[in-house]
Amino acid sequence: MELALRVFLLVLLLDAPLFWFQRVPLQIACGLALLWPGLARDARTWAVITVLAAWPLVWNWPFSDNHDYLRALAALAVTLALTTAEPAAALRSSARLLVGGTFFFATLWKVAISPDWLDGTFFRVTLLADPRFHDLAVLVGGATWDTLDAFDAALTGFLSGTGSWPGAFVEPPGLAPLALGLTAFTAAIEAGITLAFLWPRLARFRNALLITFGATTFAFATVRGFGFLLMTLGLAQCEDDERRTRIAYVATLFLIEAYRAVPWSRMLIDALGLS
Amino acid sequence: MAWLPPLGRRRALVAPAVLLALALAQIGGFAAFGLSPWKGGGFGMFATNDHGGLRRVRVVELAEGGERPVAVPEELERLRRHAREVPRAANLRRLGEALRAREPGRGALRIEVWRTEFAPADLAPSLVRVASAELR
Repeated sequence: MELALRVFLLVLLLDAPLFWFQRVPLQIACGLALLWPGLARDARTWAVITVLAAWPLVWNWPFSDNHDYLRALAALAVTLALTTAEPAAALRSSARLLVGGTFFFATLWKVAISPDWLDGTFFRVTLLADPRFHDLAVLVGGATWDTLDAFDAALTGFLSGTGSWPGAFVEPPGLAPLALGLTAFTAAIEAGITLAFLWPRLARFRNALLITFGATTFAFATVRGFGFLLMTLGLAQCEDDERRTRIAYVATLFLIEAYRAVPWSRMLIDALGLS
Repeated sequence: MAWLPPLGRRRALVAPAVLLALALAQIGGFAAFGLSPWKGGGFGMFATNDHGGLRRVRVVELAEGGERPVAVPEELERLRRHAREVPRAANLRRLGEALRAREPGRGALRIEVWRTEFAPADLAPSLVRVASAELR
């Protein structure tokens, strides 16, 4: 539990809320708790951290991202765990349910509620319209920068009402198979994580699935705050004897940071002469 | 229930219960008034193209000669974005009232929020109205 608390404090320091008046108090509280380990084990410290993580959700409503909610909920889970007689066991239970719940709703949205996800339309559009996925579209989907620029200009014009949609937009032939592959992979791994974290009979697959998710998804979807939190919750729910698994979670957390910090996909595109 | 923590650790259920309540409320908000699937703590991100970047807020003045589009000034950007993500009638009217407070001569206004739908065949976009409200 000590390691999980320290990593969570570090994550809160590195990925705090956007506005300075929300970020700085949280960073000060986390920094103090990192410097004085006694504070990190005190429920009162975590109660303060929970408030500092939660009030931006009200102040910024409705603009907070989903991982902002998960950050506050994870801090609440630590606070309450530290008030029990068995804090490590309580935190393990909370962390498992938080991960399971997060992926349950993420899967529910994708496969049951969303009108444009299962048929691959979401990823076909996202690969063309979301700059975070452009490198993947070029590397694997056969898109060119000209195609991406053309789609972006046409969509911007359409949305602003200043232009009409060009009737003959030609989608790169490799894009639809890539989108379907991403759809299938995402559905399988997110549903798998849901089951592994919520159904004890599949518990042995928990760590492998969550670490695989962290090591693959965040290579392109660089939402590092969400990745950090998932790896921290994964770490927090490890049993005492799972030392290697804990190391793997921490390593994956740093890998997620490396994905964001190092322009590896652009370097690969350049090396392959695709630019 | 074997997967529930024992009685002494039931506090461990509080944070997951809050997650459950928030996520259900978010789905309810989506169904009831078109809350953006990407916002509100329901984990609908990366599940649909219906997000703020692909939503459009349109304001028209209902004049005698027909409808005239009204530009939303930069100062009202936060209200516009709020209406885009949470298109409840009250939020749309709040945007309309703010516009009218800046320009009192304005007649009746209609505030609309549209989302973008892409045709699976060729990805051609079309706008689908999510919500609208009138301010007389």
